[in-house]
Amino acid sequence: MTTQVEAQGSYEFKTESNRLGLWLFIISDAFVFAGLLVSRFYLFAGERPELNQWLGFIVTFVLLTSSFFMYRADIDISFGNVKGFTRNILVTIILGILFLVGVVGLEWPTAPFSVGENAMSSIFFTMTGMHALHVLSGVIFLIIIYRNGKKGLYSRERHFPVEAAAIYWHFVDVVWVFFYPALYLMGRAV
Amino acid sequence: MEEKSKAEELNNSGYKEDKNIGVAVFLLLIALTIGEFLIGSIAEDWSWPLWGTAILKAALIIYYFMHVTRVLGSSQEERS
Repeated sequence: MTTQVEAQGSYEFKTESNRLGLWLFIISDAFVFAGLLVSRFYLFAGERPELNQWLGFIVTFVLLTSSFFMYRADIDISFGNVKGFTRNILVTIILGILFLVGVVGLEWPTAPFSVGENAMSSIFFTMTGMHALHVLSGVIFLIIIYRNGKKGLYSRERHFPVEAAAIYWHFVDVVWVFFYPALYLMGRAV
Repeated sequence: MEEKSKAEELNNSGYKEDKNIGVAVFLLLIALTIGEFLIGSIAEDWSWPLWGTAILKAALIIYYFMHVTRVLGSSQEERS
């Protein structure tokens, strides 16, 4: 009995429980984005907004690259390389901000419609806005992780917050993997 | 001297392998994205290849970057 109680209080046990909880959150959040994706095809199947193709490609490239650096940060801390971890987290943060600038700062003002103009504009701004909000919260999460990493709070043995930040960040990337073709590539530009 | 031995230790513990996997997956993701971009530019109604590519990209990220197998496995998979 004592052994079971001790096991439940261990860091490994807590990590496994937290990991499961995180994945359940990710799955529930995925349904929100899936709903938006379904709405996009229901509202204008076979058509897409006339958007800047190159900008779409570049922001996608930036987000994929940020995921790559996040992966490296995760691997670094898993092997106790704190220096590499903080460096890679910093690059991820910068790329995340660049993505936000690309979508909110460049794509939104040049979009061929304004907010609420029609169904297409509504779904476009809802999809990109909801995603940008997740990117923003991810960037805040990463800044906290970066600061804690600098303070030496994570080690090879204890770094679940880093893993959680990485999973969240990659999830945001997975969402964009579907949003990019749905908004920029599929259908006839109108 | 200490840094050199630390680097050697990292390379011997599978660190380099994991990093190489990351590079390979990243290059594959970029190649698939370029493919998507080209398909989207050439054909307007080719949505199925685009769906297929998106699903493949998502699967790569979920499997390699998000380490989905960790949640299915036990703590034995954890690096100690």
